[in-house]
Amino acid sequence: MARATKIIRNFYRDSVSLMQLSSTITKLPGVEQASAIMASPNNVALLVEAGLLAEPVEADANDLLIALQGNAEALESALAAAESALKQPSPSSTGNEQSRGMSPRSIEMGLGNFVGANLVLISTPGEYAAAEAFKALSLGLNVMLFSDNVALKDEILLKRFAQERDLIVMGPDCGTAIINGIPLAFANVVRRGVVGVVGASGTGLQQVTCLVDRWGGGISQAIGTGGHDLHRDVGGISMLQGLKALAADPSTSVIVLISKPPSPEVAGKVLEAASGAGKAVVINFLGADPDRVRRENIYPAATLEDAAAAAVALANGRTPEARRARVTSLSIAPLAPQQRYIRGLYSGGTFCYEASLLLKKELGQINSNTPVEPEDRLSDVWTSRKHTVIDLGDDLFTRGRPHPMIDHRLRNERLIKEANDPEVAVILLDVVLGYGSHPDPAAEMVPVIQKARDLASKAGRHLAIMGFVCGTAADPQNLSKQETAFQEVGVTLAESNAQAVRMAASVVRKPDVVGGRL
Amino acid sequence: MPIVRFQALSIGVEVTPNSFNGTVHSVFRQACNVSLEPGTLLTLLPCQKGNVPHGIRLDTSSHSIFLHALRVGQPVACRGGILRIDGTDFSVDLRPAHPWHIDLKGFHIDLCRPTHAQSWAVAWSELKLHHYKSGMSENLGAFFLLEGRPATPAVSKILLQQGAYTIPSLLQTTCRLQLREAMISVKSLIGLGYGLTPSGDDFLVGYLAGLWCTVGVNLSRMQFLMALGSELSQVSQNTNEISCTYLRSASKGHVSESIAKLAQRLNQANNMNSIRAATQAALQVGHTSGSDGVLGLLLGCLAWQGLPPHLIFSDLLRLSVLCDSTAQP
Repeated sequence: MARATKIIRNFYRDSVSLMQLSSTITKLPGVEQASAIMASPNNVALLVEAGLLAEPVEADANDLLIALQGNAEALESALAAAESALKQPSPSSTGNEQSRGMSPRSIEMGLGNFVGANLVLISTPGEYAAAEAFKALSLGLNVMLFSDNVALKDEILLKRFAQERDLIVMGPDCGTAIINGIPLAFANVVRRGVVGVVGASGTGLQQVTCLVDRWGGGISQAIGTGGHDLHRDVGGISMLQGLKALAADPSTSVIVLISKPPSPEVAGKVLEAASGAGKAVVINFLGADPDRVRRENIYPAATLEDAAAAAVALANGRTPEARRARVTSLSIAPLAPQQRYIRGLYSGGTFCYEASLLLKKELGQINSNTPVEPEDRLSDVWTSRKHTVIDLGDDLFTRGRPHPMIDHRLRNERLIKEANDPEVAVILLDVVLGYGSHPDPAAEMVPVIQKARDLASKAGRHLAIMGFVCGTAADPQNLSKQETAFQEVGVTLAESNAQAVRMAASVVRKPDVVGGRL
Repeated sequence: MPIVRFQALSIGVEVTPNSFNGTVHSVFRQACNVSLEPGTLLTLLPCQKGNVPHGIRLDTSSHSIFLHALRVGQPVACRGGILRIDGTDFSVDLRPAHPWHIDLKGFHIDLCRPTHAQSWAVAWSELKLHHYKSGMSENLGAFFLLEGRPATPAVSKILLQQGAYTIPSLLQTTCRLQLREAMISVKSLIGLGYGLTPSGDDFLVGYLAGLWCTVGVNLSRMQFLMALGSELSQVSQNTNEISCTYLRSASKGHVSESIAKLAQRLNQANNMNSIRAATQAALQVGHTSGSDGVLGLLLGCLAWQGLPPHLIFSDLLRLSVLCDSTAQP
């Protein structure tokens, strides 16, 4: 297998664009693996670790590096194709800046071009992101920090600095937000409405906002906080700032908070602020005991789906009812006796975590690379064991590769591997639509799903494939087209992750009735 | 009165070109300052002058245009991108102008990197050479003045002498992120010297520029620098309004084009001739402003390195001694 690299000096593209470019190049004939990155020391080290580079290259963070692996004869044309794609105007270089003949070279210049702007989205290599965020905050701007790999001490400093100025830092590693109806980074096109959401989880935000939209509600604002915000040392500063903003927002009447369970002291602060918000607040601390969350005006929700349902009910002036776990009536072909296990292959980290929580209650031990209990951690993340759910967006899988919401290759490979395992009864999938995600996930996944089913069938097994599509009718991928494509190859779709998980559990929990209607 | 309608070529980052009111603050042969609010000035400049953060460069190279057309105290108003001066036909169309900004905060000069260290050394040599030559020229000052060519002055003597203790201390306290102690040095430098922009102020403008260029991605340093800038802005009212404007801009990382371009070349660190040229250009500004500013910039770049103060002190002392030894009797 040959390698090829190309360094383009003093050339910048943000990480989402580069992930999409990497995904495009990877699909070219003869290319096995491809990555386009800004050549910061950390990024270069990751490519060395991923085997795309034999050794570090002479480049720095101002340079764009393309690294390929594949057939020698294919790599030259692939590099040319990548360069050609990069020569297309950057999506960001439009509008006012062009009309003034000069692209902004700093946040201050950008602010000059967009007078009244109050939010900056920062997507640079992590080691530079905190400094840019600090500059933005000092200019009185709120910050959405898409970048990850920001040190915890810097996150704390940034958030305290922001709080003192009544600003908010969304992130680091904040992949999703919807501000004033505008989806930012990985987010969906949702109806506007009265439900405001603050979440420490990107896919959690996407699930809740999409379900609110699906059930007739709308979103005022969706504010991401980054996954570390409710860490004891950070203190939930951004969640508290977001909550404060939504409490003061006249267009928000219901607030939803989403997070893994925070430390007790942070939870106390958040609950106290929520109960004093003067508005109904639905709280989904994934896996937390609802009775510890319940307060006046606070409605605990066990799942993301429950949170969305409660928010819609409250927005319509109804009291949220305790939702019964819904399991759609299933008609599936008989399973072989040895088919006993679920394999969840997730692109969304929170979906994976929620699946682990729900399945653990129903089935006991659930192995994972991001387990609920440390003892359930997979020793080898590349090989499933019994019931397993995998977060393929975890850093372990994305070193030198695009995120699985953009590039389905890794999940497709794993899907085939699981299909060949005679012990597998159900494969569980999430499909995430919206801006930032792959433009047509069904086109990438359906042929592989068909192949997986064929492989199982040839081995005399029926493979149940279940999942859900997290998206809205207004998303660029066309929700109904995507759902239809999956259903046509026999994928059983639920409305939400929780429903899909329960369906999967019902299949393996009742082997005596497999083959009939559950 | 002639009709004087200009177009703006470039507008500094600190100018809000849409709507404002002010009065003519001061008029010079090649600049007119407009007072916008206490302590805030806007400067109109002919095209041959370099950009400044609070400046608007006009499409004229005409000398004395301001002296002929404008008087101190005239009301100034800007509406819809047209600046007019009351009672005159003087107007400036700001709409076609390009924004001007060199973002020092985006630079990452790191003197631990050999290329940056070499670049810094080249600029430092130019400064010392200039100082030496200027010192020599002071002896010949009468000759040059007779010839109608004023001698180019070197780094201000008062800065070198009175700052010889203060400046090393400022560098040391900066490196240690000791805000209160750093401000003691700053306060003793503000307003030090003479002229429209006293030497101490020019030095501090350069010094802040040097700090911004080298602060990199270290948030503790950045936080210190913002606090230093904020406190410095507060005490900048102890100097004159023109100098105060430059100091307040520098506290936000905005400096004049000559210093910013030198910083840019130091950051690029890829062409020693261009660094020499940029240093020389910066040194030529004003009476001693250029050299004081360059001294500040280069020492600002050094600050985070934590060099022992005696090294800085001895180099400053050498410059000072040179100043004395070549001074006119």
